[in-house]
Amino acid sequence: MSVTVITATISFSYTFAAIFDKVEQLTTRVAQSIGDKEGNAMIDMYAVSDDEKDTVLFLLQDAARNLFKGFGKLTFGITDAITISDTLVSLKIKNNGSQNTNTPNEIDGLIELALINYILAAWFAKKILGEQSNYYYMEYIKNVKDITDKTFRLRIPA
Amino acid sequence: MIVFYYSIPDLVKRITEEGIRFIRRAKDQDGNSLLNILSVGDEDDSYVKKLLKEVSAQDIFSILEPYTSGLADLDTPLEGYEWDVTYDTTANCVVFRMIETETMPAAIVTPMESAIENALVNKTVSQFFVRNGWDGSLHNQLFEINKENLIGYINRRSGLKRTYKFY
Repeated sequence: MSVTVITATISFSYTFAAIFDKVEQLTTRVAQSIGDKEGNAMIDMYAVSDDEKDTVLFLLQDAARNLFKGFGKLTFGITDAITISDTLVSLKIKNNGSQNTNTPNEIDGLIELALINYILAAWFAKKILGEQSNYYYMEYIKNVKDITDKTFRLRIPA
Repeated sequence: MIVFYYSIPDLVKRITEEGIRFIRRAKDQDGNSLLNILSVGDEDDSYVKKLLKEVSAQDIFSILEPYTSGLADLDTPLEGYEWDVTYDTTANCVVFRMIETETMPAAIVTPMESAIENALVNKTVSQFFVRNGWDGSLHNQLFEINKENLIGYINRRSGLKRTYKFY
């Protein structure tokens, strides 16, 4: 994750490689706790591996589209405010200079969490693990609420 | 003569902030935040100015209009209401003028100035919410209070005399 604040804009950027690494770790942790009839951890079944990179990329792009649409009016007048590619997702919003200087960093961390939680919720849903999917989806919803709350200050003119 | 003038960009900023603070926690029936939909953003700038000009400012001018008689007869004829003009050194102003009487208490001008500004802001916020499918009644009530206050301030002027007859 990274955030860059310049005079006119605040840019948030998330590389696929970094997000994939975290998703891989988290799904492995969850999979370690799920055993088959013999009690063997079902890592191969539920953990994301390099074989599933295409699926995770698709989910990341879906997550970014869902999450970034909530910034709508803050992107007005910015060319290419949203970038969704095979290597990264990024968002540029207007910097009106009225926010707490720590706010962009807080939003940056929350966006990364939201992207990861969205991917995990969708991944576990595809693996028919409803409980895990619901948990991460609720986390995602909480992240979205927190992000929206943090963007409140960014919308007020300086 | 009293002149009330307000920078339109500054009014838009206040309208933006008042609206955003009010709908900060507004949600739809599914629990989704309405902040992005109901907040005034840069893309709403021209529409907010249109509401300000064609609804709010007209309402205020309709209150002050009876006290503009005589402005046109001055050595340099003046308008009671002007939109988007430079006044003094301030560009992009909305200007209201009214005839001042000799007995008018000078101190009443400040609350009048505030009442007009608050009325312009509250009416525009109310109209913006209504046109975006949200309840604007609270800000409309605030506008009505501002309007009543303004009328009260005008009527408080001792020795007020109209320069025309009703008949």
